This record gives sequence, C-alpha cells and structure tokens, in this order.
Amino acid sequence: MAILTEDQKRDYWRYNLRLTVILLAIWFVVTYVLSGFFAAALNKVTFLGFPFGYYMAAQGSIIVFVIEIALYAKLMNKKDLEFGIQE
Amino acid sequence: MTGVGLIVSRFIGLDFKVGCFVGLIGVLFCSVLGGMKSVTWTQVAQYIILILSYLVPVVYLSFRLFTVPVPQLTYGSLLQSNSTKAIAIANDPQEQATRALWKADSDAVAEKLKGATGAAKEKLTAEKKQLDAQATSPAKEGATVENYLQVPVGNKMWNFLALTFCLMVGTAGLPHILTRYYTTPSVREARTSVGWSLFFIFLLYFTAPAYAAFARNAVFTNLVGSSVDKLPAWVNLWQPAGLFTIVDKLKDGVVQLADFVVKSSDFVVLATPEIAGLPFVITGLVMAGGLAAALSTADGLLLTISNGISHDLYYNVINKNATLTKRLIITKVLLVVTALIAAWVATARLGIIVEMVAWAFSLAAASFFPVLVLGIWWKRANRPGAVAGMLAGFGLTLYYLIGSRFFGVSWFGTNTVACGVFGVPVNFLVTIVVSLMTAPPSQAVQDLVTSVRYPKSGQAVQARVSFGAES
Repeated sequence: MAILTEDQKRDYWRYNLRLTVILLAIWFVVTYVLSGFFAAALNKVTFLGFPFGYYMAAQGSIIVFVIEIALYAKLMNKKDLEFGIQE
Repeated sequence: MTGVGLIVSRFIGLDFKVGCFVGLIGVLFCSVLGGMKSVTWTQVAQYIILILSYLVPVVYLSFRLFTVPVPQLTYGSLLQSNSTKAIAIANDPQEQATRALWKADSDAVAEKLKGATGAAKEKLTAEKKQLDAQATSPAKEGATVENYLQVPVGNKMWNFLALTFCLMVGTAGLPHILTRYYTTPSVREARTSVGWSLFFIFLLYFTAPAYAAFARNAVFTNLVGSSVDKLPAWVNLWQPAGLFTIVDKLKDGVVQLADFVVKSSDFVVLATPEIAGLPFVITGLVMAGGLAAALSTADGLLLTISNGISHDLYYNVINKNATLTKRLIITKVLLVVTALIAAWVATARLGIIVEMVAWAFSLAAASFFPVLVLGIWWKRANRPGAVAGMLAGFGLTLYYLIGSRFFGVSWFGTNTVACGVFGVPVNFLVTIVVSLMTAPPSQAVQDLVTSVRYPKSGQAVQARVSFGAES
C-alpha cells in the first residue's frame, strides 16, 4: 500500500469533491429544472413520440442518474490507480 | 408482508391470514439460516425471476402493437393515442351522462358526511373519494392532452417536487439499503456495486410507466364501448379477484370508462399478461416475481432490524461483554420475533400500510440523511449535534405527518406524503448549530473521519467493526 503525503491526500479529496459537486449539479438540473419547472415548456417538443418534459421525468432522468453513477465509479477507481491506493 | 399474503392466498387459494404466515415461513427460511451475504445471493436469484416475469408480457404487447419489442420506446406513441382517446371519451355524451350519475352519488354522500363523526366519517370520506374518482373526466374541458400528461402547476408542482425530494433523500438514508454495501470487500467494489445495482433497478423502473400505458390502452380499446354481457376475456378472468369491477351505471348495456371501477391498481401488473393474450403460465411467473420481490425486501429489512438492535443496542449499550455467540443468538431470536410481529400486523390488513411506506421515506430522510452527510463531509460534527439534529428532524417530520394527516395542519399546502421536506433542512441546521456550540470531537474521531476519505488507510477495518454482528 502506498502511503499518501498530505498534499496527495488533499488533491485526492479535492478531486472527489469537485466530481461530486458537478454530478450533483447535473442531478439538480435534470430533476428539478428539466422534469419540474420547465416540463410544461419542454412538453411542446416531441422526442421518440414522447412529450419531452414527460420523457425526462419518466425515463430521461433515470438514464442520466445511472450514467452519472457509472461515471463516478469509473473516474474514482481510475484516480485510485493513479495514486496507487487501489485495493 | 401484506403483498406476500395476497399473492400466496390468490395463488394457492389459502385464506389471506394463513397466506401471511406461509409467507413468513419463506422469509424466515431465507434469513435465519444465513446472514446478509446469503440473503444477497438469494436476492440475485429472486431478481432474475422478477425482471423476466416483468418484462415478458409488456415486451410481447409492444411487439404485437408496434412490431418493435422495446416497450420503453414504443410507449411514447401509445401515450399520444391514449391521450387522443381520452379526450374523445371525455366528450362522449353517454360517458358524460354516466359521470353525472356518479357525481350525484358523490353529492349524496357529501350531504350525509356533514353530520358524521368518527369512524362513520372516515368511511364516508373514503366512499366519497371513490365516487369522485369515477366522476372525474379523463381530460379537462378544452384540454389538448389527457390528465396524465398535464404538468402540475402551482401547489401541485410544489408537492410533486417535495415528494421527489423526500423519496430521493429518504432512499439515501434507508438503513436496510445502506447496509447492503457492507457486503462488498473494498471501496472500489462498493462503487462498482452501486453502479450495477442501480442499473438493475433502472431496468425495472424504466419499464414501469410503459406497463401503465399498455394497460390503459387495453382499457380504452377493448373494454370501453364493449357490451356488458360480452366483456373481454381478461376482464372476466380478473373481476372475481376484486381488484376492479364493472358497474353499468347508465344501464345501457355498454361499458363506459366511468363504469370501470378500479379498487386496486395492482391489476395493472397482474392482468397485463392476460390482456396481452398470453397463457396463464405467464401470470404465474408475474406472481412469482412479485413474491420474490416482497420476500427479498422483507429479508433485508428483518436482518437490518435484528442486527441493529442486537449489535448497536444490546452489545454497544446494554452489555459490552457479550460473546459473539450470545449476540448471534439474540440476533436470530429478534429476527423471528420481528417477523412474527410483521406477519401479525399484515393480517390486520390496515389500509394505512401503503401510506406508511411513504412516511418511512420522509422519516428516514429527515432523521438519517443530514447526519450521515455531515458525519462524512464535516469533521467538526459531533455526537450532541448529531443526536439533536436527528431528534429535531424526526420530531418535526412526525409532528407535520400526524398534524397534516389527522388534524388539518398545513404548511404551504404540503401533502402528508412529503412531510420530510421540512425536517431535512431543520436537521442540517440543528446538527450544525449544536455541534458548534459544544466541544469539537476528539482527535481520534476526526482522524477516523479523515481516514474514511481514502481507500486502504485502515478504513476497511473500521467499517467492519460497526457491522460485527453480521459475521
């Protein structure tokens, strides 16, 4: 196991925080802005036969969430390798 | 447990109460013999049955209607045609006459309701709700889309957003879900495991709205307008089950949409195979799938409750010298006792149970989530802060829950199901304020919090300790 220096620890944690904040921002936009506040406006657009606002609430947002989680797992696991602290 | 009892009773023809206890034996068999790990493996098998039985009918329906076996994509155009049909039905004179009759019934009940109190009032309110549902038109006057596609506005939008918030944050705070990830051996695998588990859950939820659209389409196309003495086969098959009935309100011999009285929307999932014209075997599969889902949830819950009490309460608080064997025995005894209580409650068939599930999300959101987040991300958080925050969040949510459900309390017109929306911020606030007012946590605790941030720095060992009762 690699022992991390204080600097490395800080870098690692910052990377984690930044990634989390970005992903949460996307979560907020998809959940509350697209599927909530602007759903009525988006419903005027048709996507795959669906009113788009409805689509985002029913399926689109779930797809985005799953991609976000996969992305987090992938990026963090990669970061672990970079720092030599994978288990 | 109620679900298990329902399926067992319908499937084998046992009495509902007996069904609950037959289900209980199944749950105990799965959980007493092993621990969290074996339950997880049983659940893998249960998931496979569940997802297959769930997908087969709706994939087949999609293929038959659109020749594309991907219901998640094809139901978009189905929504459009459902919407058009709903508007046509809303404006049909026969339909309007039927609705007027229901409205008259509802008004009569409303008149009786004025002088009623206590249990009689509850009963009449429920009756009126059912009658009002029948009197509701599937599309508003002059609307271009049916009710289901209307975007909520104003207060309804607030409630929609508040409920989604409670459900999401609540899920993140549900103890029986969190403990699942203890079964992974490393941080890396925990991340991957979260990814995969959510993907599999996604498959299920991705399909659920399509189910509703296909069932609705079947009601619109082959039930509405059919003659009362020549109903579609699936109606005749499922009507005796009591999930819905057909009442020829207008006595014109033709089924109107308002004649279709839905008592439990469970029929959507259970009757879809037969609506699709699939053999009964598939219905059996769907029931097995439902059973699998109910059993596995119950297993997980039971383990969490019994491990929680035995380890956190008995071992950490009451008797610190308890041996591993003693703790293990206590866990198993608690498991049986909890399961018995659950089955006993289920036999009472309280209508409030479905509501209580939603409350659990709000309560979990308001009591656990903020403390979990602060505990990991904010090193200054301490024990008094966490305790105060949890009590405040839980207390406020419980107050609003009981107040709005039974005593007409209303803040911003929020529905009871979204009661956690106030408790979450209050919990955050109280935890922060009380933590700052009291002494910071010891260096050892702060070091522990820091170590959790990095894989492989003694963290794996620490995490195991808190779940010792499992091994």
